[in-house]
Amino acid sequence: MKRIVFGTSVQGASHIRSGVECQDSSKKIICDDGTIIMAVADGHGSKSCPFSKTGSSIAVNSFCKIMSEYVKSFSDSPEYLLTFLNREGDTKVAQQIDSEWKSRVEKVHRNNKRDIPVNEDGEQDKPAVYSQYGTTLLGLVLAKNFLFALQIGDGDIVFVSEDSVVPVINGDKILGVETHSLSKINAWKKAITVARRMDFEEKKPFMFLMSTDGFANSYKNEEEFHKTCSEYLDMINQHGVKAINENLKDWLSETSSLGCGDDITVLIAYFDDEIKQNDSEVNDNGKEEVNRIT
Amino acid sequence: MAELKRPGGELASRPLHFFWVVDCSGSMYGEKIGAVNHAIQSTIPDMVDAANDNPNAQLLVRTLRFATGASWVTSNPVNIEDFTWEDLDAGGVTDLGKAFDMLAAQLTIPPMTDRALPPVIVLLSDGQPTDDFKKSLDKLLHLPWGKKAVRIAISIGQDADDDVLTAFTGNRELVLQANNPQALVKMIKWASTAASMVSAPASRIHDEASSPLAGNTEPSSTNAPLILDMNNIPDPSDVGANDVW
Repeated sequence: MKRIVFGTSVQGASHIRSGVECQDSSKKIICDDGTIIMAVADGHGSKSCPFSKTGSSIAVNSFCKIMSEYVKSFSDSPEYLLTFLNREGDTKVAQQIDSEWKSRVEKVHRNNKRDIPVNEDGEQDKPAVYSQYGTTLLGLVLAKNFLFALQIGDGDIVFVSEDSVVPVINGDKILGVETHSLSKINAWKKAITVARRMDFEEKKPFMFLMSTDGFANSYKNEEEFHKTCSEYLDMINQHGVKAINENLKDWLSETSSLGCGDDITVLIAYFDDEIKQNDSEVNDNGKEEVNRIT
Repeated sequence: MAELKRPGGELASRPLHFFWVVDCSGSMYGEKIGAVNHAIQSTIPDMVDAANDNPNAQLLVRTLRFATGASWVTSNPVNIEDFTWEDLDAGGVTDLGKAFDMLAAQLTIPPMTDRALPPVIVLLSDGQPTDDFKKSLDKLLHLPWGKKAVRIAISIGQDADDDVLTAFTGNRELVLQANNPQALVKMIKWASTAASMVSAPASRIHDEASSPLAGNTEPSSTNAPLILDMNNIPDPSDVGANDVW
């Protein structure tokens, strides 16, 4: 079974008009044992979150770091990792990611000599610092025979095969423009996780598609969004990953422009028996895509 | 590179429903209702411009009048480009509760969709409700979209019941005072800009206190302060007070 992970982010049409940079981040890692770790995050982008691009970048890096450490430490017994993630995914693991994000935010904030607000008691107001970096986080681990998904805030992770589109995780749907955020104290309590065994030989070719909310929000309804996911898989099957990857940025820019205007990030893990010869170049960027944090 | 046609389903901008809810009771007769008609009419070009600046939100406008009973002046949502203001006349009592009932019927899902932007409701009134509005308001504010709506009230003249209007907005700052025609124009213009503020694509951090997930059964205060720039609400004392209602 071959797999390729690819994707991109585009600046939303509204952000282009207002001159605001894309607040999304994404990252993928392919571990030595072949486990795929991928994450996308959507910085809030509101006036009260001026560093949310940095926040989203820290979020994907934190997820990939924590999860790659788990994969490494359970490398002799991956079955135990599934058991552990099933039991501790929405508690211990989510807490670690939450605390890693907050400690990195504090460090970046200090290193950049940014103002630290003071609360009524004259103490450093850390929650006020975190909120300036507000972001969501979607993470996915695809091991040899199981998957683990984590979600804090909005966005989508779907499994797409030739006959169905199924959400991997059902995040809290909050009406309007609000979302859960990593920047909140005890953000881990809002984490929704799924850990389950999966036979990756079944249903091939198939793909996992992760996206920030700008993607689904650009479609008329959920049915049209799922139809889109299905058509992306058809296009990959027909034209290959390389051709889709080359067109993806333009497609997503057009999607934002004709849709909700928000930034869009899409990250796809595509699985098939054979990957077209040119397609392997898509993974040649290296095993890890690094997000620079400023 | 082979250029391929973008796959995918039907794209759509996000709908933003904007409601003018106007008190047309007898006390509004004459200059007041005339000033309301003139002021709202004059904001339409600005709203069209704002909507054109953000093609990713579809601004849909409706007018609801209430006096003895309540009725839709525009029965269906109308694109702002196609919206025309029909002058309202005044007469009758102040059935505010009936207006809230009719709003609630439109803020349920369906006809609203869950991908809409938070609706904006601007209520204009100069007096005391004559019906039992509390139950209807409570019902409105317990609806998911009622709770999320940006609710603004314009208190016309010195006889308006600001406590009632504050119960509607959930925030006294969002009860704008209009004690003369000039102030009314300014307040209506400011309220109309709420649409462009709501349509910005930035996300806001969810307020746990207002979450139904938290088991909170009390109606929330509006999320308007998160969305609106309340620092630039016109100051009524800056508007000439020679001609006070």
